[in-house]
Amino acid sequence: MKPLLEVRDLAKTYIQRSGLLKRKKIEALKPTSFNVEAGKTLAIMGANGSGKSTLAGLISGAIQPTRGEIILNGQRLQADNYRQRAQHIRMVFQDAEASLNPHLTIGDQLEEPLKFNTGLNHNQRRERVIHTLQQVGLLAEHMVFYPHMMSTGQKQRVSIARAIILNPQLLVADEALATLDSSVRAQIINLLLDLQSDLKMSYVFISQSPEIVRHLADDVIIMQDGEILEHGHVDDIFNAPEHRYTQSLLLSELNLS
Amino acid sequence: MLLDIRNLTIAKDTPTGRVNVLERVNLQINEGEIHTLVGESGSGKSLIARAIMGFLSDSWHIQADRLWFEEHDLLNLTAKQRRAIIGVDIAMIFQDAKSYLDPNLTISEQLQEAVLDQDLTGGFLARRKQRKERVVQLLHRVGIKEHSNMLESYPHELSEGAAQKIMIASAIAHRPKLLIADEPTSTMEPATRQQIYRLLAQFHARYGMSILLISQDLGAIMKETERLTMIYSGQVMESGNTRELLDQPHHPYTEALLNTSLYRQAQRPPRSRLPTLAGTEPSMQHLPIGCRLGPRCAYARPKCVQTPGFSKKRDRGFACHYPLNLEDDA
Repeated sequence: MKPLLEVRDLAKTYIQRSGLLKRKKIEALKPTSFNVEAGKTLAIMGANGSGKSTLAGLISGAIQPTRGEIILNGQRLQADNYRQRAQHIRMVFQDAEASLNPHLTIGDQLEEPLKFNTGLNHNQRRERVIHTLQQVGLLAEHMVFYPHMMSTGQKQRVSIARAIILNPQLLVADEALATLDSSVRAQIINLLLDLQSDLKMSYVFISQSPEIVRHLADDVIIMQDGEILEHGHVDDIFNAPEHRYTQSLLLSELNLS
Repeated sequence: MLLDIRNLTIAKDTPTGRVNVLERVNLQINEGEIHTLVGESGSGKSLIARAIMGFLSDSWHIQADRLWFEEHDLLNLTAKQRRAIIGVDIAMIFQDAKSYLDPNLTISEQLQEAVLDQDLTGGFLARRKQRKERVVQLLHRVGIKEHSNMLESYPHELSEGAAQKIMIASAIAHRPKLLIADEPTSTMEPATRQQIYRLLAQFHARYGMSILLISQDLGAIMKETERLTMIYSGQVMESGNTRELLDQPHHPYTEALLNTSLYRQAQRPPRSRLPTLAGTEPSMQHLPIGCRLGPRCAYARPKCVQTPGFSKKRDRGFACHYPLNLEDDA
């Protein structure tokens, strides 16, 4: 089967100036290649500064790559063509509070991607917004709410609604569960699982928690210092981690039981 | 008993009337005990810490039958008495360590401020020298060996874990009897979190320091914790010995949190739906009558609109009309 997303030799180098002429190269992501199959979940794990958020930014188009290419459905993604990318690859962020615009109602925020990317008229857009709100377990009445009127869990649901409203093929979630309370986190995990089986989306899931990765992911990539250390099926890597770094990452889960 | 809180109620005036943000909270901490307070965001757990430290402004109305630290009544302290206790016998560390350090001072300067002058002897120069020695000692104590580098750094140059260690260093400068740790690790990656917990456990073992750890997640608590208190929406739901409480929760809320907690998910088949509490935490304007868990509780019955009293069985306490796992006493 042809993979949904192919990443080939993708790399990102930042140049840091220190002083008048001194320049330091920082390799945030060394040349990286991997595939994501349709309908599957790829998890990316690693410590802070290992390049996993850079990778998420590159895939979603928020960061321009230094080298390499991303191929979606056999089609090469241009680095600056946001219209092409925005319909197929959407992103959910860690901080739901900060990723919603406090000045707009939920309905207006969800309508925006539709305005820019589809030819729907006002009524069709409203219908689509209501439908999407119901998909993520909210009500049509939430359209007139402002973000401050909702709880954190509801805001994260709105962020997910905004991500799925264009029927994307790939959802990139950058630590989307990290700051949520445990009961809300379980609700959002259930929601993500339901949406994946309904809409046949692929997820790229960035997380530091081995438990969430084991529960949600099919494949996992372990990153360290901008490089892929291990890549394989979740069960293989969790049951027999090769590198010491992976072991320490997986063993950091508490053994209370 | 080191800290004794009985029926602590904290209220705030809102446009719709006075709301009990915290309702009749009981919390006791013995000498040399690690006590963890678990609750979701907005449940009022930080409010308890703030009430102990006296950080709350006048717009909060605090009432309590007892709010005692050793033999001091924390509600009626003069400013002088407070200075002798807060920051000396009771110290506190916070979630976002970097933003609590002064960005304009080097680590050496900040830690020198934490050293009390009365501990030093001699003239001006001798005292200055001693102060610097004490700072190096403190850094070593929190496991920072390369102190010369660290002393001249500014907070923005530190990693999150290192910043938290600096905060712990300044908190333990006076060997506090009680350290309040308000979600010290919730934004950290698991490996750093373990490092910080090991450090805290070490001070607990070496100096017999009591720790009140405040945590959002049952899956991310110190494994040395002896007692747990579960708090939901300003009411204490259950408290007791950690192991007993996790093995046999009496309160539906504890059970629900355990089910959603991540460390138990390893036993579930992958990609299965997780059992969880339905709905969201009530807002302060629309608190349910009686047990505040009521509308979300799977076991709720009509009687739950009356606030359940806090019952005690051996050293376990719980506030529920229909407790779970109690068959042995029937």
